[in-house]
Amino acid sequence: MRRRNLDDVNVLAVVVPALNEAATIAAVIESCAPLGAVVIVVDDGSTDDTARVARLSGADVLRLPYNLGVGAAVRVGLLRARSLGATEVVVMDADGQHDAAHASLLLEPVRAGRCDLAVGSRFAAGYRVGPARRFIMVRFARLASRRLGTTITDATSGFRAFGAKALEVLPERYPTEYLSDTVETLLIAAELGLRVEEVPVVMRVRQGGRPSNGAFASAYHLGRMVTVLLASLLGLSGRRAP
Amino acid sequence: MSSLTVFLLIVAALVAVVVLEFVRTKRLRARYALMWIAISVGGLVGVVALPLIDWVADQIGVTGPSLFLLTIVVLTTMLGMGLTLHLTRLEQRTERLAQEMALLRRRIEDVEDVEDVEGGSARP
Repeated sequence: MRRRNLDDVNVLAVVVPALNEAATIAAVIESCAPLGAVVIVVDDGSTDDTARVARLSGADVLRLPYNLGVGAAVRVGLLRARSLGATEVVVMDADGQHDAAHASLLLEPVRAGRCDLAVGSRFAAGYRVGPARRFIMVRFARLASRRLGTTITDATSGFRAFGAKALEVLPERYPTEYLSDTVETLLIAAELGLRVEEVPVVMRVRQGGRPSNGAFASAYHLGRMVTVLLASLLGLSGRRAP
Repeated sequence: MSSLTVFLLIVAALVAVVVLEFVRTKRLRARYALMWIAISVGGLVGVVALPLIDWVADQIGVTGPSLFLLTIVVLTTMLGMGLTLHLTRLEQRTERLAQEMALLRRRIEDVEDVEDVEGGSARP
């Protein structure tokens, strides 16, 4: 059966937000097998075969009716994991950049009770990006570090592990859009008093598909993020429920 | 009546007619129509009270038409701001709904899976 019983000892779930990743999703799901966890794939409005391939690969698949953004997919995945009784969740990309073998590294500080949210840092293990992107990522990282009172070098990493407390309080406040789902989430975690720790992980080259955003969209998301950050500096961060 | 007054009266009347037509064909909700009608009426009052506006303009040292235009610009800006606020709230709601829908659809599939197993239907 594709659904595993999470009522017994194993309470780990892997959440994989996916947008048009039919080429790589099966391999990602298979790579999670050694973790002995239910793999929850959230299809964020793909126009390809992602959902079907994921289902055939034995994942627990949820489909958003239209493309909402990574944050929404992750949020849905976290809620699904919670309803299946999971007490810890690893979130990883569907394009094969994140290595499931590193999930245990991420989970280690969570299980040891040192943090509620572990972030897999690519910079800590020789990740290379262009100077402009690097400049922006460093700014984000510094801001997150200051807010969280811990050193974060890679605030935009989507490879993360959530402990029970994070699972309980974060989904309610989870932002929808790209970049918000990573950077803003850290600020929200700080606000909620969650402990965050960074763990070095090695990134692999993406196994297929292509980046979801072109230069134009990236610039838009960056501008949007700067606005969000400025607002949060002013203490105006949105708290009103829809 | 100056030609400007006549022109503005016609515009205000047109807005009122168009808005009422939108309400009739259910393309515009009455509560937003109210807003437009209020603007329309406000415009009419403004037109009739042009001498008053001129007087205000004289007092603060600007010429009539530019003060009138400024009023319009401020009003439209406020209107636009109000609409984006409203749009934001709607977007947040539809996003949450879409997410709820995905979760509920999955729950239904869960139930269907269990029924399939219990019913002993042929399923690989």
